[in-house]
Amino acid sequence: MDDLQPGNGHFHIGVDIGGTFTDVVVSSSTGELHRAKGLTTHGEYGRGIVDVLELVAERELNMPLPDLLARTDSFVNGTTIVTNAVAELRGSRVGLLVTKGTHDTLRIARAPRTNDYDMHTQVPLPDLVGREAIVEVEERVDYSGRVVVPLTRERAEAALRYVVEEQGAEALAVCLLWSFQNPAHEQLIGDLARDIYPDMFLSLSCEVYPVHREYERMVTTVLNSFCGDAVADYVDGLARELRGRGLEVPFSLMQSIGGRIPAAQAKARPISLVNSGPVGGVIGAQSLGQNYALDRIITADMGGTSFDCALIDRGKVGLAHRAQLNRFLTGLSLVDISAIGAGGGSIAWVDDRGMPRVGPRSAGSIPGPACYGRGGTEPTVTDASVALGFIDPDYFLAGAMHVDRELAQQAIARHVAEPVGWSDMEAAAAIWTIVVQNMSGAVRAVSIEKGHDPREFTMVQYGGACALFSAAIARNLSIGRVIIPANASTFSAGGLSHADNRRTYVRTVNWNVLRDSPAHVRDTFTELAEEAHSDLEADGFPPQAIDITLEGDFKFLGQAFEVTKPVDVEALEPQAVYDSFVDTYEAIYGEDTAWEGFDVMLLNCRVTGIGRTEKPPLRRLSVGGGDPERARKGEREVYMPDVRRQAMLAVYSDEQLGPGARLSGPAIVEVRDTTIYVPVDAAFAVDEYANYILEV
Amino acid sequence: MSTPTHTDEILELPQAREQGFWDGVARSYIPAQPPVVPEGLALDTSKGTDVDPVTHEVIRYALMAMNFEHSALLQRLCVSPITMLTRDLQTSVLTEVGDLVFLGPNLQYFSNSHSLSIKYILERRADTVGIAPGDMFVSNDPYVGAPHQPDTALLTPVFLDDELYCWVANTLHYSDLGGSTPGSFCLDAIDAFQEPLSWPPVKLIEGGRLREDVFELFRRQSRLPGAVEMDMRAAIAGNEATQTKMLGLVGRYGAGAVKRVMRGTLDGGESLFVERLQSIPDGTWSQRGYAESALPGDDAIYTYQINLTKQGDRLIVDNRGTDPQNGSINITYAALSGAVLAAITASMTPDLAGAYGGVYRRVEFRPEPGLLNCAEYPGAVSPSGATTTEVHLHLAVCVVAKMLSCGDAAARELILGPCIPHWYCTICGGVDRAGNPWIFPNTNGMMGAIGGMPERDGVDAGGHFWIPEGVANNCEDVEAQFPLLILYRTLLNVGADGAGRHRGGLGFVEGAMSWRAGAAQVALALGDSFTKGAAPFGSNPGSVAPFIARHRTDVLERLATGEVPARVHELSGQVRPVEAKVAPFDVQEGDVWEFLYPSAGGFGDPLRRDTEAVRADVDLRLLDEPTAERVYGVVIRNGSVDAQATARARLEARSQRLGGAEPAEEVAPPPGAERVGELLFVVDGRWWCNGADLGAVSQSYKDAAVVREFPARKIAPEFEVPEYAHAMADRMVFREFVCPRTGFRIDTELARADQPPLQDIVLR
Repeated sequence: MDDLQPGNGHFHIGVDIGGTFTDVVVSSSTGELHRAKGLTTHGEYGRGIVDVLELVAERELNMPLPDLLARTDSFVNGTTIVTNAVAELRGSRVGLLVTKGTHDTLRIARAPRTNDYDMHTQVPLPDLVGREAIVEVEERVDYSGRVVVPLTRERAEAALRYVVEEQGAEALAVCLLWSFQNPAHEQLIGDLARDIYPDMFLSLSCEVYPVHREYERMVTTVLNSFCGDAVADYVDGLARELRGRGLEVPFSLMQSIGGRIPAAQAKARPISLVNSGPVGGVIGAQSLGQNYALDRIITADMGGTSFDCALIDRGKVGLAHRAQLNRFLTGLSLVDISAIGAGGGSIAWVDDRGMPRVGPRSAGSIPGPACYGRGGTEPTVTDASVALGFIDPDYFLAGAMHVDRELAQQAIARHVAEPVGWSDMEAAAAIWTIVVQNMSGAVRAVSIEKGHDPREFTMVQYGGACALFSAAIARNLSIGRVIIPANASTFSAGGLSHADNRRTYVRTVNWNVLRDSPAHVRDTFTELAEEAHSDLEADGFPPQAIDITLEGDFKFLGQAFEVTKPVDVEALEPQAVYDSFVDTYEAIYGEDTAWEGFDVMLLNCRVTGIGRTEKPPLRRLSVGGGDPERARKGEREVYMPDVRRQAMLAVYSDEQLGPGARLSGPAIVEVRDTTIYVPVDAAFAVDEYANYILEV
Repeated sequence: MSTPTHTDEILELPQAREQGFWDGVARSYIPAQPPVVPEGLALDTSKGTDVDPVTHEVIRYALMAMNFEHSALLQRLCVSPITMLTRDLQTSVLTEVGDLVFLGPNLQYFSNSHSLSIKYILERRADTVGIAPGDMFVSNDPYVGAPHQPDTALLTPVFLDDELYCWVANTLHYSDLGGSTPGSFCLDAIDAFQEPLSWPPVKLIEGGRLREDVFELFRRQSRLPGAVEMDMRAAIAGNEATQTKMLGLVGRYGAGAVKRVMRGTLDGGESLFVERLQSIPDGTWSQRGYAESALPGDDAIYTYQINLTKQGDRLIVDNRGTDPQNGSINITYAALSGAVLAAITASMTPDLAGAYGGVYRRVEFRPEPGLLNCAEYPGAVSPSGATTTEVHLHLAVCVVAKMLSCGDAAARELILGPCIPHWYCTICGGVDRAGNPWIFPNTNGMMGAIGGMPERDGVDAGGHFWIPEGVANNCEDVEAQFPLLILYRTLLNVGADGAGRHRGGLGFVEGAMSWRAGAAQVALALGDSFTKGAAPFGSNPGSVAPFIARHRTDVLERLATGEVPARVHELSGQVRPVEAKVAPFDVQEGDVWEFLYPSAGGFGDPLRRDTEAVRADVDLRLLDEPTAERVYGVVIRNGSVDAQATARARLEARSQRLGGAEPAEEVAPPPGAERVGELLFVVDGRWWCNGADLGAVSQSYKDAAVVREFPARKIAPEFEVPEYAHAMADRMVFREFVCPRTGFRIDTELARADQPPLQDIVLR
């Protein structure tokens, strides 16, 4: 049990491993936040985390790491590992067993096209599984779960041996038609596989996602196996590192759906960790919004490799159901975040038409931007920021890391300025402007293009690189106010500590409400609820900290989309369920949209178990103002790309800017691990939570 | 109507008709320009008020988003798979006179449909039944605006006070509206009287009140009144919600601002289109397509033709060369214009993302009435949603590709590959497990296939250009709802069908049987005797698509003994000949049927395909080595291309085309040569191909090319069809027009054996 147990623990730790940086936020029981940031160590994530933890323990908290870990109540990790595996399609070589006649399901992909008017942009889907490593097994189950063609042990074994021994599969996935109605055939293969290849990662669709629609179920199952070994290695490695340094509580991981899950459980369902890190930021923004009584927020998160944005409308984080990952339709529900390749490490280049472009390729942490001096020679957005004068080479990450302005300028000169025929400064300004336009486009896509007026929203921006750009993005979209949290550069890590544990269970039942008996549905809900309870208890939550919600995916017979609504398992009287669905349906879609002569189906039973965790308290400070002049640490020559003008800008240090402080642009505010650009005519203030507010 | 065969005849366009000729009663409705609106109806015809750029964009996206949301709502509320998965639906936002502002990402050949119906309502209903706030009109009349009768539009005038401000509208394909055949694709209809009733615009909702008498009548015609009831409620809810959003937008930003954005959106689309036309020379391009059998039992082959003329800053479309209307293989102006406009916008202005109204201003139609593609009443059209309209999408996208291939590099980039010439679905029906009637239009035709393009291959199972958002069913979706068992759904292999320098996307084959149900019927099945998927610029056509049905097979025994059959021909049983137009037939348990969705045509000569691309398909196990050598002349040994053997094989194939003469190598065109198509150029007013002079451009280059002709089923073994189809197949030929120097194909065509080669490119 990691959260509610009393004891002498005093800290909550959130660790967010991104493509470039690893961020740590330690929240104390008095609400103080301590943070640190380091480069992500790909391949040895555990070591990188420990390095940053040591930094925060020793430098911020003045204690050795083992002391901190011993006094830690909760340790939550958001990881990029699954996101990267899916985005780059780097994972285990999966062997896939399918029902005879369905070999091509993945390539057919229900018509693998994007929802775009433009056919010129359509390209085939990449193969998640090599076509030669997909094998059909002679078996068939029908819609009712009745076996049409039984699967023999010999055929199952032959198929397994073929994909492993002849095709070199490193992980196994099984997705048979109607396995959620009758899992016997998949289980037979599962038992054999565990017997013959006990060390091989295995996903059965009846376990990973026992839900109607074989394509989505197949993709979900395959992706789970695709990431299985990588996640297991990662979790085990990290657990070893942390235990070895004194962490007593088990650590948790953030799931795509916006709740934590114990690491051991995450290993069985690694695909639920996709987008894990960015979700922490959105949960953090939602929690921050509650303090400000803001219910419309656009989140903007710019890190090293990507720019992520999401919408919180009426206080609710939007979820995407049957979400698309990379270009694959899955059965997953996840926090709806849209990402583009625009980060500090995004590489600037010149295309065939001689036009400068930025991203989506990133220099990552190795070699990183040219100015890091680690061998990178291509210019990045960070290099442009250094060249323009926004970033003080000697105060990058509060001086923890030196950056080299010369190297930045050289890279820009060679790869952008000279090919296009511009001055170095013009080229740097162009890189800055292009990346602002790209990010503005992403914000436009989640707001204006979905019918929301950005003027009604507040932007909450975070990520180490964002504060140089957020005012310009906000201005492009006419967003009036930007909140830069005090711990902006590590905000997603901090947000991790605000999430509850969450276990989700879903199973297809296909109940025709007025025609079939509800007994099976009642049993399914009861079974899943008991499973949720016992799983959360096993995670250490006492019954009083567990909330179970039961929901059903309902629809009129034949519809392609379902309405998810709460279900009272004690009152499964068919007519009442029917009427209640009709009420909900008409409340959503309008009066008279339902017709009470048509069959209603309950497609899936959904059970969510929440284990309520203790959240770090929020600290409110007295507004003493503080004289901004005292915080002024000097001035710096900066080329402001938004107004195309070089000027000496006042530079302020956040350490002297207390709550209540105000100043106006143009100016630079240097926070320890981020730099804020306050453009001409914008106002800057520090509020009672020590967050920074930009009125643009 | 005879085909114009001389350059002069082709260039002399048909005259536009006098006002009132296209009346929507005896002939298709084509509105006057500007539309006729009785004086009693107050319209907001203002230009609107100035808006700042940010507000302009906010309003523009809000209009687009409300139209998207309208589509999304319909997908959620409808119960018919053909509507919600196939996206056989459309939503639009239109101006007060019915000019299109935004078209949704659904069925694109509904492009002109709402506009036509609204203009008809303005002209004929304002003074009679009246047009007032709270009204909604229903119409499925193909002689007014519907592509065929199942496509029923619901059209809502949006009023501000008493002034008509704009329209919102949707069309849904209703699963069954009656007629001779379950599913309402009435292949056996000799005229409109055997088809679903065509409703000219009728008021379904009056002053906000549903007219129960009209609604009852609408339900009454259907075999599935429950589904029709649910879907019509969805349509009403969709229009109501969109109207509310429109009024909200106007309330927020002002009527003038929103109107300005509507007009600006139309103007912007128009200027983009005019700009793109600038890089194309003036000329006329033609494409022919075919139907076999106008009715069950008929053994004739019929010709459709579309001619596209570019004159300065506009396009003119006509249908000369098309056979007179006949049987059930017709369409009206609504489907003809809808299909051609869809191909033009999808090829040339997809970046307008549905804001196509401005483009339509620059496309003029001058059809000849009484032909298969602009029928006069009471010509039957109900099966056209699976057949004739798709033929015209294919013709149109090919003819637009020909036009674009004569433009500059940017124009050539806009070329789309050939699409599939029919919607090769099945419609099955019967009585389900609970004793209820069911009808299932098999929406898996949505998997489709994208044709080859100038710079790349098509996409396997890649959908259709004309339904951007369509998705196919899962097998489990089908089996959960209908008493069917899907035995297999398999991609076709890469073969001679669709082979080109860039190959067409692969189609698929699906076998099914009825499962634990009472009586069932195959109500729609399309069995090709010959391929109809012609592909321009030297590629092979796409696949021929036979429909195979076997009665009283041993499938149940096989399943019982542990075997899932891989293809229908493995089974015993009696073959039912399924030709191009068959009446519905009964199926029992133990009967199995298979429909084939063809691979699309490719682009360019297969002998010019990159050898590594051929190898890549072999690696993917989509193509076997003997086929690679037979079709592409690429010899692969131990996983790699044998370059020498390949060069020999390809040279041999080219030599064969030249009757044994030694082929020359390709040469660069002289400076100033203007490219036309793939290998052809115009040099000093003459056709030029790799150094060969193919005559003056006032003549057809085909006259000077080496011509090879085969029966359509002899192109390659892939094009063979069952014996019962031979007689029909042998009346179609495939022609290769080969460069006399190199032996590479300049172009190919499918034609009825008695037709001379088509002069398909005439430059001014």
